[in-house]
Amino acid sequence: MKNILKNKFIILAVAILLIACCLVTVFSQNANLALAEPYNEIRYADKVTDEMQATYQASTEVVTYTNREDDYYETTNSVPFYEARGYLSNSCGPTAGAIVVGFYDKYYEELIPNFKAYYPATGKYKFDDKVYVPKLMEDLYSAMRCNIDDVGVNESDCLNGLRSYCESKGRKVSYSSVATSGGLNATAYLNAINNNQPIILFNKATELYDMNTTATEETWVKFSIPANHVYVGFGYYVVRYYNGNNNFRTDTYLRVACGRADYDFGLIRIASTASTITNNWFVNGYAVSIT
Amino acid sequence: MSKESKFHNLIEQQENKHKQEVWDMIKSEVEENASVTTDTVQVSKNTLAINSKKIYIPIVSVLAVLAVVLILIFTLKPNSPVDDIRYCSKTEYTTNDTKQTLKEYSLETNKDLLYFDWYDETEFCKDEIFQLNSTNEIICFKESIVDIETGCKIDISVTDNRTVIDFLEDFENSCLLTHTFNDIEIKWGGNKFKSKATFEYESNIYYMTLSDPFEENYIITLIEQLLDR
Repeated sequence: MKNILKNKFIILAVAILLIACCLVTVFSQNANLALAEPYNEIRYADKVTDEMQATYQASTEVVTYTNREDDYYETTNSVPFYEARGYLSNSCGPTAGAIVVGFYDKYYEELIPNFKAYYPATGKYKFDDKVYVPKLMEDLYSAMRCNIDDVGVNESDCLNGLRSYCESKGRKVSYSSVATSGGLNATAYLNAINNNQPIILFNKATELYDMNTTATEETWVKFSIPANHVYVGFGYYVVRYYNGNNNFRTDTYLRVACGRADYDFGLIRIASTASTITNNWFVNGYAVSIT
Repeated sequence: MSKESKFHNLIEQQENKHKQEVWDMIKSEVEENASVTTDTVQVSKNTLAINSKKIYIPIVSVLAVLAVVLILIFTLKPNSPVDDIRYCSKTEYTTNDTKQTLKEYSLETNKDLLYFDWYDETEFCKDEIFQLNSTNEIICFKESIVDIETGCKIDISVTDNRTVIDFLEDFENSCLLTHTFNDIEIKWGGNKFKSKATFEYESNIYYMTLSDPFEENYIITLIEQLLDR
């Protein structure tokens, strides 16, 4: 009898132990999932490490021609070329948001209190400021929860933070996607430009171009920003090259504000008749309307 | 029997009075030969001593002269920028904002730097210094200032002529046109959105960028304004 009772006790103890182990395993898995989810999203931080700094590379691309034409479309007076602040780490999201707010401050001056974001005589945007723009970036840094869950921001925090900031100033924000089937919709992008709306672009590693143009030759220099980064698109640029009457090449670029002290703006080549371009840098993009 | 023994016996066979005379004569000749041999050895030693001095002193003299000449050559030879260039990448320097303007930096360092003296009129001026992490040496001073007449932003970076910094490298490929003013060669170029130029003045190299220029060669006009002071 005693043996039977003893065996039952042992069996019961083992069962309880097994159940306890299962419960611990289940709860710890759930905890890991809860922690892991934000880390699975793409973060936009730029300047994460020294190794991910923008790199310049001399390009060997040269095109010669007899004549050249271009069409350029941009938002009115482009955008302000604010630069990220060193003391706000991984702040490409807040910087891009500040550029958008600075753009619209011309039309709704309460967006940046006590600050005129442009020169009234020319309409050109001021390049930066040492008091009000840093304050704006700090507010956006907080609103976007920058560096809270992980380095930089994710897409939803960036967009929600910009919205909450503008709403706190009595303005509404709406976003229109410029993406299609996971890629860039260049037509939607151009439509936004023509509607005077800057576009927030969420990019992976991106190559940007600068060019030296003469009457008969164009040389490209290329630089890379290897980290995930938020840009503000404000221009659309099409270049056609001719030999005589033969249009032998056409390239299309987005002109974007980079929010960096070393590169304030650059050109992203999105299409060329000379080569196939896949635009793998593009993750998502939204035309921003503030009313 | 050896020759010496035969000679000895021959002497011994002489009569006594002649024998002693012969031995005395032989003895004196032997003593005389020994002293000659000694002198010869001594003369040889002296000859060797004299020869080593004749060898070493000239060699040392030549080496000393050569050393002096080489020292003079390498210390007095002007530094060639080509031979003395140092390349600085992002990992080697740090960028910091500074409240000092390019004008103030020029005065403080007595470097006679060029700058746009618009500080009282402009609405925007921002200055940065680039310092080597290892020594805190300032390798570049960068000033961004707005031209109040046109609203264009001008970036002007200054380094000495033996320093190349990575972020300024692209000027080589962007500035393919040349213009000369006051015997100073200005390399420049650009596109619809940006003009760039670089030139050397008083052992310093200037890199200028003009954003959204209202005309293609306005940057040349600005540089001529700088140089014509």
